[in-house]
Amino acid sequence: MPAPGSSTTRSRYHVNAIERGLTILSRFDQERIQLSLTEIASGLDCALSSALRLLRTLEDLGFVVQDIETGNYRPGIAAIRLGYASIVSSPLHTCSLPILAELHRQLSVNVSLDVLVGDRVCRVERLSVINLLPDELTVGSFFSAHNTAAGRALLMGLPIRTVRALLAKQDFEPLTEKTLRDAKSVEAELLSARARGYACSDQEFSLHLRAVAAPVQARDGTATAAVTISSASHAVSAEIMHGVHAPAAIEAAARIAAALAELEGGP
Amino acid sequence: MSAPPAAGRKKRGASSVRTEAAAHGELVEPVSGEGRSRYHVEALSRGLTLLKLLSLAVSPMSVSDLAQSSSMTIATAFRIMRTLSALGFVESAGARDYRLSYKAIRLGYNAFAHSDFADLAAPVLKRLHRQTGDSVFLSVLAVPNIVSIVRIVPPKRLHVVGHVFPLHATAEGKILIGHLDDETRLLNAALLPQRLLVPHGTVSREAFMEEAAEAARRGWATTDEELVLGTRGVAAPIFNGSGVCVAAAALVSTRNRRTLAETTGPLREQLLQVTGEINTLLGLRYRTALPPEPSVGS
Repeated sequence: MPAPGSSTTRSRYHVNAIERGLTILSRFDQERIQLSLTEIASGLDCALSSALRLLRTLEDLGFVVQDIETGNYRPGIAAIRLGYASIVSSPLHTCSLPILAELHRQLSVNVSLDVLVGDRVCRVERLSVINLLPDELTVGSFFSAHNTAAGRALLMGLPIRTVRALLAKQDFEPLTEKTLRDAKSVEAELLSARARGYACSDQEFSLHLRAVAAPVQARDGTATAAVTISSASHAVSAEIMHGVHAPAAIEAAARIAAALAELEGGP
Repeated sequence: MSAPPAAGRKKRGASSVRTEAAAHGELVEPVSGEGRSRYHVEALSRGLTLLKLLSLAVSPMSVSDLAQSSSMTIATAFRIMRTLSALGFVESAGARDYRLSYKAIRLGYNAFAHSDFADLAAPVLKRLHRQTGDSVFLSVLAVPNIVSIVRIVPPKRLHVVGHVFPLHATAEGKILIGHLDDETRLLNAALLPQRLLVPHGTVSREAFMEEAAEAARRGWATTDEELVLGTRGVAAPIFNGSGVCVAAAALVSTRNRRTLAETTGPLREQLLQVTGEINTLLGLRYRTALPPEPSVGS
């Protein structure tokens, strides 16, 4: 077994080929459901033939499928199963589900569980009432952290330096007239979120939505996940959101944190 | 490092592939055997194999479990897991085990979660059309009709959707009606006339409902010159992640082209393989399922 850090030609080759193959898969997202060979090659900054060999390997193992008519590629079942399996095999899944379901039933609200993946928030559980909210996000969606309740709940426990580094990369696109437009205002918002124990985004992400989110805290004080309650802004007032939804989200988040601590063994 | 023989799988420039591979100093191993490209990037293939094993496992796996299941040496499996872990797609679970991390959602699931149903099924259905040369339809119920949401018809391959056919005369209609729950099926049956028109006369509503129930039980249905004289087809159900039949896919051909035995034999098998694939895909569309409500007093 090579010692960690030893970089033989062979292991560098391994890292390189695996990384480039997985980079191809990462290029697919909610805006790019399918990609052409040219797009993939230019994304990897390599020749078409090089990209083609990676694609054929991905295709052989079911990680991409080619549309025989357009020639474009899209993720295959094997790739899709990776995301699915990561959701259902996570300890968060088992720990949070009964608690989220109870919250959903008691308040008849849209409840979700969100996690930070890199700089973005990813929705990993969602229980929604029958009427779909406009602009609401499905499981597997990625969205920005700084202007959403979930994202703010995930950021509010992080060291200020980490938060600033993340905020420095945002473009603060005003999604609605209420969106906070600069790092300073978001930082202030995170501070007050921290003080009250939950984050909110009131029509900042979409005029149709208002949401509160509470962090599921790990022992070190950072957030493992966020419990988010989203509502249609025309149906639920800010008073209800702050007065009823916020305490419910905080309570659920605390219970999930306790269930998680218990599962992972420890006092 | 061996150069591959000079023929690509398809007619694309094989020599340029070879030159490119040499330029990147990568190992290119021609892999023989069905379904495998000649130009297989072995290291990537191994990484994908381990990811796949993790995605199919119910619980986290150790490096030695992974090595054993993939017939790799422990050293190779270890090196690959270290790479996957450095890239953030797997994480440790306990002292020795690994599981997929949430970052794996970015490897295709994210795009999938935003694809609509007809969009997901279309590439698979196009492949079925290419294999058979027959017309392929994906239809949903709009009693007393069915409406196509994907339609691939030779020779022009017109993808015009929204075609409406009387449900009783189509194989899809039998599948879609047959899969309704009892109450809904009865309500819908009442919307159909007592005698249903077919090219050679009429059939009774009762006979049709019976045939539909039978089609649902066995998992496929046929139509034999019931819509238009000279056409026959076979259909199979498409289920969503919760096991509800939401559409039916059909392979339709003509009497001159396909015998009834072909339609109910090899063509049915090809169709079922494709619907099986679509059903697997839709089964991966994750919706948080509500755990059963606690009973009163508990």
